[in-house]
Amino acid sequence: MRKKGLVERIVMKAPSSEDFSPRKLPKNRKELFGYMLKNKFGKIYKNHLLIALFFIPLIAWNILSMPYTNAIFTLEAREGITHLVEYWFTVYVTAIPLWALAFVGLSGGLNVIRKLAWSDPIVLKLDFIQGIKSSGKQMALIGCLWGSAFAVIRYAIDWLGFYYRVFDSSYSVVFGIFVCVFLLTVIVGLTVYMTCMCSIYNVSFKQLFVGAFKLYYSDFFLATGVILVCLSPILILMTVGLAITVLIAYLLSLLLLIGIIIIPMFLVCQHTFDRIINKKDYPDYYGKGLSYGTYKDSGISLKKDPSVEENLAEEIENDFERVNDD
Amino acid sequence: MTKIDAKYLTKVYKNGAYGLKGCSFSAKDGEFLVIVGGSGEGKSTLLKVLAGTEKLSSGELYFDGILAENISTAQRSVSMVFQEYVLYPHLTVFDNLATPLKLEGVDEKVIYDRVMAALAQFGLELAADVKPKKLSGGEQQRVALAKALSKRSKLVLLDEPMSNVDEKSRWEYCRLLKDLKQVLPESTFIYVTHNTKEAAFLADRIAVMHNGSILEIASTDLIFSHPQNRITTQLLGISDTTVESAFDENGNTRTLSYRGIFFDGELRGSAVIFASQTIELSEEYMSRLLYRPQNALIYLSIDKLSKTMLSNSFSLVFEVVENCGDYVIMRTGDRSFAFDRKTALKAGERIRLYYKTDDLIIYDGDKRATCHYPLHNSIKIGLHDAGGGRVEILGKRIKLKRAIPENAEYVAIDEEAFELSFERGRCSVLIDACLDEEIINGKKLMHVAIKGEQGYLSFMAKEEICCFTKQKVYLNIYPDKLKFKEKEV
Repeated sequence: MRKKGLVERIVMKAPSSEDFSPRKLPKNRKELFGYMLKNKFGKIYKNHLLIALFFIPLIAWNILSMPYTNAIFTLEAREGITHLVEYWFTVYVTAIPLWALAFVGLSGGLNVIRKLAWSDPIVLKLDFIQGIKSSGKQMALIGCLWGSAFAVIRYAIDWLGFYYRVFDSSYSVVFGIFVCVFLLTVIVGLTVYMTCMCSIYNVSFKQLFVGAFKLYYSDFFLATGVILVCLSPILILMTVGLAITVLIAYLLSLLLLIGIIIIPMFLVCQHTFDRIINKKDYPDYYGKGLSYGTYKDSGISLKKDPSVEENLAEEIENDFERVNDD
Repeated sequence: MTKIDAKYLTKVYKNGAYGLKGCSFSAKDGEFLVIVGGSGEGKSTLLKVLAGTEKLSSGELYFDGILAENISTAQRSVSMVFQEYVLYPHLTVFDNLATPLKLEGVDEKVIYDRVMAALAQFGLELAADVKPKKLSGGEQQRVALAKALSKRSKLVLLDEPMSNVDEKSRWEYCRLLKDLKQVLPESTFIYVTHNTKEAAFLADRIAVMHNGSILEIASTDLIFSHPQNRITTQLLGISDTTVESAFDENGNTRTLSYRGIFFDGELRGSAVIFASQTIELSEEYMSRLLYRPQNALIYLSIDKLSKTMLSNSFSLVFEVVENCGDYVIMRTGDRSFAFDRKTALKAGERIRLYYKTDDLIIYDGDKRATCHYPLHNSIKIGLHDAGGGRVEILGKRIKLKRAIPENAEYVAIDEEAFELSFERGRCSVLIDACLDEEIINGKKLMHVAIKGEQGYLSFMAKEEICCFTKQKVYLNIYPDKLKFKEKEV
């Protein structure tokens, strides 16, 4: 056996002493997240870039509407409140189709993330397109619903803001804003569960909605916590409210965050799915990508490819020129 | 399909060592050829040459009849499996298999299907998304085989793939390899090993490599039952004393041959007479004869016996003695030999086989008298002073102590008057290029190009002079020993 050089030893390393088994996969989803970031970051980032392409119109629209937003919120409160409907319609309602488009991108991206998390090999372009084909329509609908819900809640929050400035009624406004934020959080969680379900299961939209609601409810605190932590960099920058911080939030989202923050969100959903439905109804999906998952051992069996012709070299030669004695 | 024809392959490394030395063999379409040989015999070099990663110093290599120089490495459709696990460490198993296909421009959907099918065949689909370092040595070799399967390579080259695999996994791997051959029946597999058991298990034919060339090549049954050379018995571990006693003092077999048949013959004019036949030799063939032996032995290579009549060929009638399945024992006159082909011929049947006249080799005892290339046996001289003994040979003016015969136009090329050397003599000509070399009569014959001369000239050379050396080689001329001729023969 040839002695390996230093570089070869560092790069190649010694092969494992025992055969690969799925038991060597990460033990839980926290480990899996780290494993994915460590081993598959290139693919995750390329996937992020593909998703980001679909988010560009939405982010561009938001950036373009920033001067208008600024103009509205610097108006005197009574005057501002009269322009609120027009503003709301221009900025948020118009953005609903853009949300739908962004969610179509998410359908492709989530399909890729699903395969990466399940330790399935991916062909990025193919799997992204496959994701859009299989769940793009439902995701567009979810995008529309989310866009609408977001618009309504934003309208409520903005209205409460103006109301506070006009009537100086702090208690009712604080309570109102709290209700709005809570509702928004629930809707975000619900949307996350719907999108993740949509990328895995083939169910109707109604089942999707009802299922997501139940599943989210069953893991409410964990899921909400993870989602808030994931969204926190964007939320903090947005809440500061300066033009520069908002721009940084958009830039960060476009350059890095979207493709990465959907991974823990997907994993927490997967955790709930495993606990509630996979073990019983979808055993093939149970623990997939983790050491405790159910894996069918295929074994090794080389089957002859029927498209390949018979081996001509094995044929017995029979066409010799025979010589007769007579 | 890939049929390989290798003719006199020679590879000389920069330090002057030979990797390959006149290595000739052919591999049939879709066969599993195992090359057996000791360490440093040139097995790996041969595989590298076949893969196109190593350039030949001389010789001709054909893939399906096309000269290898005209086929790029990428176009050869070759997969190589090495003894080291040559997988990209930063790519997953899937990507390791998919990358060559991507480079070939295969559609991504097809890539996915092919790669996953190949991985499933080798029981590796669960490991598709992990990196090679997580796999055991045997699994990494399986990935390398799956790579060949997904690529559907026409030529699969395996360089001692099991030397790093433990004994238990080795036979599992051998079985997989045999199955893979069945899945890819059209691909030609060339497997290098020094393990006889692996060779016997896997091979359709076994080639024994020694000193940079193929010593013998035959089907597995035949090579084990009738080794042609003592070195083969040693390499293959055939310890049967009855077989050992079957070798002559040169180590060659006295029993059934499958390399060639010798006939006693006679050279008469431009014809050769043997086996009750008179075969007219071409002018080109005559120019390849180094000399005309008194008692010629005519050698026919069994490999070159053909079922069909080709131009410039003659026929011989053979009688089938026995069909042994993998080979047939045949006889012509009192000469018996093994015909290494699977045929439907039955004992007692007589068949006609053809042989190209130019492929005959004439021996003088155990010394070969036929060269690979036509020889020019004289050099035209320029006369400058016939009376005073001054001549011009190969652009060099030489003064002779003796008078030059009248009408002398040529000088004969012979061993005494000309010598190739690294040392510059009193009267010498610098060799422009050494083109090729061959061993004839136990001596080295070199074909060289000299400035101002058309074509090539052939001279005997000392053993230490290597054709592919970067050192300057001189042709030393000894004027006193020059033999003059009136005209070229």
